Amino acid sequence: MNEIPSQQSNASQDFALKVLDRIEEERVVPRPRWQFTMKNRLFWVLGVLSVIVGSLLAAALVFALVNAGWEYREITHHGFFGFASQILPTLWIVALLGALLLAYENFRHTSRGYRVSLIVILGLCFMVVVFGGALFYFGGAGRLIEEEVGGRIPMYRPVMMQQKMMWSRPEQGLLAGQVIEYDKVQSLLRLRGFDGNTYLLTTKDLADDSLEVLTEVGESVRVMGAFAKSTDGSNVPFFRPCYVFPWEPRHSLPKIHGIVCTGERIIQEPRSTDCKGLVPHEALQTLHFGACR
Amino acid sequence: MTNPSSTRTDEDIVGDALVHKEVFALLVLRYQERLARYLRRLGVLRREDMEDILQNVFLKTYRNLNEFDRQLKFSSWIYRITHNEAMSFFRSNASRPEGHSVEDAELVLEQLHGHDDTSMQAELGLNSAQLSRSMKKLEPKYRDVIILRFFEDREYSDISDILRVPIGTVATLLSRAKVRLRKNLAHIA
Repeated sequence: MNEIPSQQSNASQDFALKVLDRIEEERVVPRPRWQFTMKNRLFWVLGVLSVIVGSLLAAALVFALVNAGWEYREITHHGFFGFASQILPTLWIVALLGALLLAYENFRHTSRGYRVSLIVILGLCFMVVVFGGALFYFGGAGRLIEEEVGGRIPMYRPVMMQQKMMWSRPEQGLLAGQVIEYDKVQSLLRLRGFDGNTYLLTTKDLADDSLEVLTEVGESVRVMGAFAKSTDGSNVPFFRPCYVFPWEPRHSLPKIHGIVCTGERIIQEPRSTDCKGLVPHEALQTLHFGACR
Repeated sequence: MTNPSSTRTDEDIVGDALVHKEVFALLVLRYQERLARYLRRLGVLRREDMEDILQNVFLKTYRNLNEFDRQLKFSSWIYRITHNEAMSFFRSNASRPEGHSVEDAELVLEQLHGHDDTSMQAELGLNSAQLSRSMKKLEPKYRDVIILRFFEDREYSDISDILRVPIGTVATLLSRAKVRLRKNLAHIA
């Protein structure tokens, strides 16, 4: 104890001795440095992981939003709010906020993380998530997360499944499915709907420009038209197509004017009475002129 | 003759204490009084409680010596440990601070009211007990910054390191704390 300066008061020296005695009695030893280094690194790793997970969630969020069927909202829904409330990917939004919060908490607990304000940490994390989310989205991870992860979460319906349901209402003129046969001579198309039924469609009134691209066997399409019971006595339901749109989900941003689609030959005035009755006709005309190339 | 231990920095002593635990006594001697005063200001007034807390603080400091970041001040680090121990003490005893030792009341009041208003205490007839009552009325987060800034005379960056909050937050808390404390003081006066 020769290190204790002699001019200190007796009480102070007694206290210092008491502390040293307790260290001795309780066999207190300094914890090794690596434990603190590991702890600090663990917070960094968890913070970075949270940002990566956040980026993946952002990619899924963008995928869900881009493929929500904005172009067709006037056909599939009556109002914007009904559409927005149905397509809003609440799951990904909540999970993304959770990941950002987790990232903040981890970075804040690093050795000097407390010095940086909440706004700065969250702002930086947000920017990285936006950038990483864009990379993951264009790389196709958004779809993977949306379908593979989202599909396994109870109560959550992935966007493409929602789309399938929206377009599996033949009685309301909305049909989607895979082309299983196309007879160009007889202008007949056989479609296996996403609802599991097979439909027969006549394409003779559809414009030719994009029809062949759309109706290749194996391709999936969305069809807007009129549903009718079969007339030839078979059990195959008949569907009168007025507009045909592609089905494929996108990995890029929506190109409103680049959709390959087709409508009736005489576009100024729908030729058939079936198509004339389609609601909303104005929206379809806009879609036809504006969106179909 | 000057004692060689008085010229050594805390950081040097930490390095030596990791090799020879007896050297740690120097840190105990250096900080014991200051930390005891800080604990009194935080509201630990019973001597036995204070001694227990202080012993725990030093044991914890010794146990975690390797965690000390040389880029911080050692004093900020040991103040942080002390603050956390005091808060744990209040929590585990489900108690609130018993009052706040305000032996430098006049100086603190001067700082609170600005240097042009040094007679504030006299004008209002304030005394230490009234300042202590006003402090007690403050929310803990405001009380903590007032104690560190005006009673312990710590810089903003030190307070940031002690309370583990950004410097901007320290400034905001301090500004709000001053407003609230002034209001409390005026109300009491």
